Amino acid sequence: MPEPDEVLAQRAQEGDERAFEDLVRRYAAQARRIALSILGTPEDADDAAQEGFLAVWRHLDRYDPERAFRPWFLRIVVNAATDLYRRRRVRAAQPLRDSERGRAAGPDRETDRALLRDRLRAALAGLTDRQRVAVTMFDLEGYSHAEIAAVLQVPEGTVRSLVFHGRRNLRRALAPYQGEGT
Amino acid sequence: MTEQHELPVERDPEIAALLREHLVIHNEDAFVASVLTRVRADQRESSWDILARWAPLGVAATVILALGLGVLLGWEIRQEAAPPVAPTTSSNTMAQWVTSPGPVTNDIVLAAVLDGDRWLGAMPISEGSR
Repeated sequence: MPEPDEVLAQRAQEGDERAFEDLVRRYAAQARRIALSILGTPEDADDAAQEGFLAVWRHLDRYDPERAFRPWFLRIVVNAATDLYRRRRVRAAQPLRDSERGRAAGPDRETDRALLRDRLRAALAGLTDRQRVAVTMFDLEGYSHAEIAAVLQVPEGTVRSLVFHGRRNLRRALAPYQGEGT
Repeated sequence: MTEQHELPVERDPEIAALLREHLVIHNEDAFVASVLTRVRADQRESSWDILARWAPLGVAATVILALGLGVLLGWEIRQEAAPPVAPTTSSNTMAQWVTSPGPVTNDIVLAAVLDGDRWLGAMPISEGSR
């Protein structure tokens, strides 16, 4: 049975690098996907996730092992990604190129997938930071409203509202492309 | 996709599938290795940071120590190099030279030269000498 996060974090606090490595392996994928939902490009997402892990390592002494590790850790990653997103907002919010917008779904499946990713990226860019995190954590990563509330430091009811509005905005943004590549 | 109007309780598989399609990550091992490399580099950097934090104090302490040693050494050297001060007595004066029955010594001559003005100033000056 794998060691609980809190035990690994406590060992890492005591300087056990191996324990920290286990935490990195355990959460690398989630951290990168959540960062990607915020930032839109894998390169930026990896930068932000790395910054997040590094910040966690530097501030391990501030972690209270009596409390759940996951929300504390993800809050740091989300903050790192949000900071980076704000710095690169202009680039992230760029609209789809006309050539991409008007392009019909081609026979090449990979091209269709790339097109869908571009549209999703644009649709996600149209959400607020919190909506993106809430929808990704709830629908993709399977977090509970309570956990997302702890990460975003908002009431649970706000998380429900964020997920609702985030989903609605995504659907509306993607509606014009229904039947093309989706 | 259809519009939904109730607050979400369950996961939306359609949204999840879209996000899964979009949020694709690769090279997990490379990412983990890169994070750990940065953590190790950060640890080394931290050691240098500690040294750097102490460096100004170290430099200041060294400067103060060096100044202290310099002052002490300079004082010692001055003490050694300075000629012994000849005990000046009230006899090394022009008056002594004038009244001394013995031979004139160098000390008396020097005292006379240095003290001459004062001695001359003390002498009553006759009208004819002006």
